[in-house]
Amino acid sequence: MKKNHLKTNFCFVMILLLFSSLTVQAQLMSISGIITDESGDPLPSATVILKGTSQGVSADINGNYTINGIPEDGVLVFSFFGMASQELAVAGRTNLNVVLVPDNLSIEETVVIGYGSAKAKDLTAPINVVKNEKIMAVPSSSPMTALQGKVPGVNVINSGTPGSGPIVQIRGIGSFSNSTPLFIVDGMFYDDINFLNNSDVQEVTVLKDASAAAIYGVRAANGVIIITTKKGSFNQKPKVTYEGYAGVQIASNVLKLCNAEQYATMLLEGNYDSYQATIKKSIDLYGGSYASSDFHNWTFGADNDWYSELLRPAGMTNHSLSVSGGSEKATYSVGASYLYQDGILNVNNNYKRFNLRGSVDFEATRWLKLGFNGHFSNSVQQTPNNSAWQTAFNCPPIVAKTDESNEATFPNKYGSPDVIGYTSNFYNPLATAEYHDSKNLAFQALGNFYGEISFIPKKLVFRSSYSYSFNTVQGRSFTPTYYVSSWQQNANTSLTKNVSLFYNYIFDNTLTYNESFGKSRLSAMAGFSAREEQYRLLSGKTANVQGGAEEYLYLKNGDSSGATVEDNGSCYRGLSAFARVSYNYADKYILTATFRADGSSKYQEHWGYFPSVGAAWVISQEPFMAGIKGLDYAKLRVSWGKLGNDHVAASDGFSSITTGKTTSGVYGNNIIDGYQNDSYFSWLRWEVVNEFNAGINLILLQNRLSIDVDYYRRITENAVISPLLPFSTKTLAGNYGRILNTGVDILASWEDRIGKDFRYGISANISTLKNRVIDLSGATIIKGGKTVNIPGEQMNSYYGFKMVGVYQTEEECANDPIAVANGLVPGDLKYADLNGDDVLDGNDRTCLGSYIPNLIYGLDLTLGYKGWDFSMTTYGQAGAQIFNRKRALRYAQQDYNFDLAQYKNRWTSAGSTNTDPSAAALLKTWNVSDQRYSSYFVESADFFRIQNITLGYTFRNINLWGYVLPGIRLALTADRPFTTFKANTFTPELTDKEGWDTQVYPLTSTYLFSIKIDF
Amino acid sequence: MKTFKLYASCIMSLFLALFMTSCEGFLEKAPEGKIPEEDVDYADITKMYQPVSGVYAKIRTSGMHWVIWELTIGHDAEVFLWQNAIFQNIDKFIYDDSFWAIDEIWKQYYNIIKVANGALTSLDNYAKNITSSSDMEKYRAYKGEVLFMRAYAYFRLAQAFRDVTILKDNNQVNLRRSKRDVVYKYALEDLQYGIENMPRIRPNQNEHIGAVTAFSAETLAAKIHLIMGDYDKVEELTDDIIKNGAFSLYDDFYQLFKIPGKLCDEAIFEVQLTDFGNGSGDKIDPDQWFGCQGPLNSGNISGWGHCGITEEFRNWAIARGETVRATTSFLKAGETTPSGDAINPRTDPAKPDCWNGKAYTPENQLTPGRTKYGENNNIRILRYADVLLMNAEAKVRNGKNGDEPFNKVRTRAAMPELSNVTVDQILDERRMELCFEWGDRYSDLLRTGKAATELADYNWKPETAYYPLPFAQYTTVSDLLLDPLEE
Repeated sequence: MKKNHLKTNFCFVMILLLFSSLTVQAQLMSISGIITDESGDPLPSATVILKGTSQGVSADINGNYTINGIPEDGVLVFSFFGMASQELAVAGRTNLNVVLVPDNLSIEETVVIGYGSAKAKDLTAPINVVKNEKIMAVPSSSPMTALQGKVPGVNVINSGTPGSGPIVQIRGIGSFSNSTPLFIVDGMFYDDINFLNNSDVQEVTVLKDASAAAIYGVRAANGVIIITTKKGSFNQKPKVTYEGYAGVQIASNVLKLCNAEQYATMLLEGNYDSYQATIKKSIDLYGGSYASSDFHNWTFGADNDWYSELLRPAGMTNHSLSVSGGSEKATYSVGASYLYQDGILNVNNNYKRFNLRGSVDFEATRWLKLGFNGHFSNSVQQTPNNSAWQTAFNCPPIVAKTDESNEATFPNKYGSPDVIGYTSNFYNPLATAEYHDSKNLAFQALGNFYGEISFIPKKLVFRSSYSYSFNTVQGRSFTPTYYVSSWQQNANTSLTKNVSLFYNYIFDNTLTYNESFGKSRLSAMAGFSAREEQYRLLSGKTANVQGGAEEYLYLKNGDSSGATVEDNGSCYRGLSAFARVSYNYADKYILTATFRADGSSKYQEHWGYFPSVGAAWVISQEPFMAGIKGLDYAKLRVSWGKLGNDHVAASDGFSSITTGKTTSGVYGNNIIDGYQNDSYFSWLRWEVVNEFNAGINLILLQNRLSIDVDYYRRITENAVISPLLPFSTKTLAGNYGRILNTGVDILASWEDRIGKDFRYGISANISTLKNRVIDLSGATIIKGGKTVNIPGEQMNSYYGFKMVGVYQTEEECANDPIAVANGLVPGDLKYADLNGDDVLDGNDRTCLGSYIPNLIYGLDLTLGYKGWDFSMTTYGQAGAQIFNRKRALRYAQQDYNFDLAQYKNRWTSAGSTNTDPSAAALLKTWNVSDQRYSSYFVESADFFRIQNITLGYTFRNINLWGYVLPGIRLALTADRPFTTFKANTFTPELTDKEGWDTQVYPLTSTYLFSIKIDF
Repeated sequence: MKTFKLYASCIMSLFLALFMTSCEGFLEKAPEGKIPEEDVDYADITKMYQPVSGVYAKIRTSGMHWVIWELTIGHDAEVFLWQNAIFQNIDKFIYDDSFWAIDEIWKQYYNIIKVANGALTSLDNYAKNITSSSDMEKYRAYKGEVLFMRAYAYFRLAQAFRDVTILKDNNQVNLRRSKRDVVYKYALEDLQYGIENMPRIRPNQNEHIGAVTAFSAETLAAKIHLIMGDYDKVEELTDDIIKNGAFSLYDDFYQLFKIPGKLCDEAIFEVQLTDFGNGSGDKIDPDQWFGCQGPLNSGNISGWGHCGITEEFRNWAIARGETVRATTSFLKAGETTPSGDAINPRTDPAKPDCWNGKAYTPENQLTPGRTKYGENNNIRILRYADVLLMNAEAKVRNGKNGDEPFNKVRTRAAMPELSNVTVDQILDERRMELCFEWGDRYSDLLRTGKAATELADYNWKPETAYYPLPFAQYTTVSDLLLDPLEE
């Protein structure tokens, strides 16, 4: 069937090849001039192109150009990277000097909109663009990290683990299953762009609302991020650029834990009899004294601050080289980059990545344009054992770091928690970090080929594009033999290897038609697309493989009996037909409509239809607005669209059987293969988002101030959520939910210069978000493992008792029936009896907040004086909560260590505090229990951060022994130098989407020196 | 130019039309790696045992959840759960119906029932392809095994909750509960099928070694009749097992619960586990079933130490003159076991100083290389000693002499023989012989009406004799709040 389809397409292309087009002849002349920026500095390599053709030249080092063969009535387009293009009618002149201005405020800028591009002024939807310079300013392994705080409505949550990309959410969370936006790199769909180097990216375009994203139909519900990789320009001399940096990362906001004395105080104040033996044992073994009758005066030989033992400063460096240029008929861009990021966990953990890319576009004939883009990325990630962070939080300071006297431990003499009486649940964090060797080797290749046929130049264009992505990840994890304690040991080495393959293709065909008649301009596009996404996994595990060298680590070198193998896979296909029509009347009234029909093999009900419509009114073009002083441009926009999210689990549509070890009975020393019938199966549809957007763009005060304000209201219908089946531990997904996200995105920026040399700019962005579960098909509550969903509340809310204070006096306890019934004493937490029945039970639980911010904001400041540039960006969020799982884990083991705030803020006597329990209370299940989550563990995730400070100096046109270097920029950057928050955590940015704070790799502050050389 | 546009649009429309018609096939893509239930090859009778094996696996993975065991034993006065207030309250018969563990009992046993229901459907599908009578016999025996396991799940559900829902079909809409005796009657019908169709041999003689037999079904049926007070039936069933089952008590009571006692001639139903005899690699273990009971200790002989054995019960046992049963059942802090494993002394007076020795597998019996507490041992569920004691009790209650079966149990435990034993003596014997296994003591107190007096110190009340309906269940299935069906 697919073969047919391709054949048909081939015939189509052949037929089209038979057609050729007409050209226009006119009288020709030669034009020259100089191209400069506002301060009069020349712009070398700026390009001049005759509009409507690819004929053009680029300026020399002094900004001079000469272009021949130009018709008298021609129009020249002057452009320079980072500057707004300018069009000038020749009108018979032979000398044209041009001053280009930075394009930050430009509404003439061309914006990628999905299967095409449009001028910013023609947009009816909120679309934001972030340029390469902003991305290069941030040292990160993934380009998305650099977008944090840059685009209103886009929430980027970072991870500290080397090589791990951030979580990205656009305009809130609209799905219980997956809120990851669609990333499109050179036409290929991705879930993240962690394989790209920051330097590969020309610009990032964020399609925020439904009317913009609807052209991507069923994949677009979470927003769309289009990455345009670097390309050359026609008639551009080769441009060689090196950019590199080297710096050091330092853990920021390291959480303080109790030292030995404070830890002992907490436990012994809490329950002397239960805990004195362990504490005395540590003193007996490792020194110190418990001679004093007052335990507050005891001293300790072992007093470890595990976090400082685990952390180290770590290096990070990146080098990229790129060459781009173009002739009259072809453009090219090639680049290579290398990134190395070391981990701040003090063991072997790091990330290395090597990227190569190339792109060629050429006009084979007047009517045929061909091109190729390729990206190759090779990375090695040596992953840290993140559970070391949690064990460090839990492990008491009185456990020895190392203990030479313990015969049992090997290969390293790590101190054993069990020699001083700690049993299960205690681990030496240094050993946890050390005895872990896990590595992912990834190769990723992306190839995109396209051909463009112009039936009528610039008017009717057919484009066919095929993108193929191949990604393989080879994981291997080796655990050596070791012994720390009976709970932390490994008697036989174990080796796990897995190979994951992802291979996807997308075949896009579009036909674009542009026409203008009178004051009207019409642009129409129709297309279809086929795609397939495949995934395969093969994994094996065995024991007793000899360690010591990478070369030994093969499964065949281990036990053959007891080895296990596992494989898995998935394959989904999609077909789409789509169309877009834009109509512009007199640059005043603009209408855009799109429609997409999407078919997906993931669901039994294959087809879905996704329309959108948007309108804009450039009110500043109206005669009645003409008199308003200071108003340069004003546009009102409204749009509506419908989107799908097929990023939810595929539905089987039939009941199947489960096989394997867990479904096989044991008979003697063997198993007999068994299976279990899965009587339940899912029958899903995709989620559907309806979004309304209204916005205004204003440009004021001689193009110095621009303000964009957008209001949005998006409702997800048929949201997939998996409630428990009755009488079962199984959940079954269904389209039960409705979710609302609504808010306002504001972006305001001011740019100006004082005198000739001093430039400055300030830009602020603010996004508000209100997230609510509206309905769950009648269910009043659906519980997940960590959070709940209740109609009327925020998604993924924490659920438990609301702490209203701390019992202060015996009298207060005696008068409270709940305190009497539960034997509470002063220092215990007091919970709200919400239903007022004087009994505290499951019915008194309520929502305690969720990990969704209500407000995110960023502020950007740039200053420039002659060769100097300075920038500072800040970022913050408010209204989200985290669940301090680190503290809550005490339910499992009462004598875990405490964080310093728990010690300092503890309740000691009546009136001492009404917010924190006493030391004794922390050892009681009333206050700390997995059955009694309370708002004591829910903390504000509000934070404010100075995101990036960069100071740079650019040397221009340096003469090196006769060779003139166009520019060298040297810069110093402090990335995330300062963050402030109240939560008792390393960072309120958590990799856990539901906001559970545990095992978090600390974020870092990075200080670096960078250099950029244009050759 | 105009004609060109016409051409283009014609071709485009044609192409789109072709595309739209050919795409439905492109989108018909079956999920990778899944075998639809309806496509299982039911004609291959050699695989007919597979769904049965799946139910055994489900008993292992669902029925052996550590918290289910803790709550099953938690009603016994002999054991105390200390880990936190909610567990501690269970000893006092105070419940929080939103406690996850109570919900877990409900869900996990129904998981078993659902898998059993599915397996019965599969077996019936195989049956349609059966041509020989010997295969038909196999089919009936296999069905008997599945019905036994389904009855076992109902037996445990009624033990925990009394009145529960009978789930005849996995897609059943009406989920109203039935009275306990109705549930028992339903379970007994299943067991009757098993008694009639499964082989009359010991499990360790079975083709699939350790799989249940007619005698396993008779034992479970006898336990149900004992609770329902039908002593004639108990006597009849247990007599049959004793006369025809070729079961015998394992001589060494201490080793009975350890590796040497796995699937011995005393075993009537065991949940089987294995490390395949290998010191590393693949293994099948019951997750934390042993670990939760393991002592607070260092080294491999250690666990969560959750379930403490009361000093009161230990004193009672010593006062009776218990020897090997005391040494076997009591794993004491600060002592060294007969197998040479030293248990650390207690440091925290709030924690237990004695744990369940029946769940203890000595270090020297672990396969070298294995370190997990209890690894490679089976979980004993039904054993012949219980049959003998039930037989003795039924005989005495039916006005006969129960000394013979009774004294077999006594003798094996190195206790002096008694004559003309009374029901109370038998109940005491059951208390000692079956302690810390599956909550028989509490069942005995309930069925004999002794709970009110024996558990007076523990705040026992008839209305809290069973666990409450789980909050998560009755809030999603409101039918559960209706009065249970009487038939």
